Amino acid sequence: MIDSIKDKVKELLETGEIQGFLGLVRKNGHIAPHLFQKGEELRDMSLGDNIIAGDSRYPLNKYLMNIAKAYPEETFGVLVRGCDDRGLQALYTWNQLNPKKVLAVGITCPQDLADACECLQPYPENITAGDCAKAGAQKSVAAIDALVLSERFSYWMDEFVKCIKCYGCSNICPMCFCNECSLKCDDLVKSGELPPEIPVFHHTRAMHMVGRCVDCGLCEEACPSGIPLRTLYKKVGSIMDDKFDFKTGMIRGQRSPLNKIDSTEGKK
Amino acid sequence: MLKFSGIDEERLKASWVSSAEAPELVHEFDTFIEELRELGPSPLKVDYRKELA
Repeated sequence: MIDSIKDKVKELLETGEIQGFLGLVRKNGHIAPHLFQKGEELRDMSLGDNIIAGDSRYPLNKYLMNIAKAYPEETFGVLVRGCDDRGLQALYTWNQLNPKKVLAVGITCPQDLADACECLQPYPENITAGDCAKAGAQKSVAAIDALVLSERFSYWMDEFVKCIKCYGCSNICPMCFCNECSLKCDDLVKSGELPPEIPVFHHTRAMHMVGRCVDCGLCEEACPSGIPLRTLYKKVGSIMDDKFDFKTGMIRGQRSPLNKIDSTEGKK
Repeated sequence: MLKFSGIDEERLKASWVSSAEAPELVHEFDTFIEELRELGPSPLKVDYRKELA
């Protein structure tokens, strides 16, 4: 898998089609994001594991946004998995990235990763290497739906109370691109209080993930307290799917129904 | 989402009342207060933060 990616990136760099390729590198025993600009650098390239898509992940889309802001005229390649691809599509529709300046090189995730992530689409639309795994079964949301109301309440409160308000979830989130964040506004969320007001703090973030969350699960991975944030946002996503047939990033160009103004809507 | 988090959805109510319809608004308040009384105190009243300390 990695050899075909390396070949592809090398070709793109040599033809000058892209000015840099944002991917992962193995350096000093660690996997880290890296902007490849020369063919020879590709030797140390990683896909999150040695040869296939592993579980070391970074919000490459988020870094790409920063790079693209600094170099708006250049075209960059980026390594994408299914989740990253959904993220890219969502960022295009939110006008955070220019699709003409981004070249995605897609890899698929292995089945065990798809199952662990409960990923609905463990592959990008354009696949450069790899075979498509099946969508993972959605167990985490169903497990909470199976509880009675009071059990759900104590489950979530016991989780939320662990929050140390490090903002790791929003810092790593490729969809958290707002310049001003209501969760960082001192009038709404008082600083110096731990845990923050629960469940309001987490519900506010969940509400802001409506139509945005691409279910990459980086928030949950980043959370030092191990709060099952992904489950919370998965529920948000499933509600959007049930009510509006909206699957963030999965359907090209589909805009969030919550910020779409359609003059014909009310007349039906 | 409230239901998913274990909060009774009866505790949240949204109604459209025009500013010109004061009696309507009062009626909404009164009935909702009655409904809430029947439900009893909110589980959120417990201070989870104090329990930690």
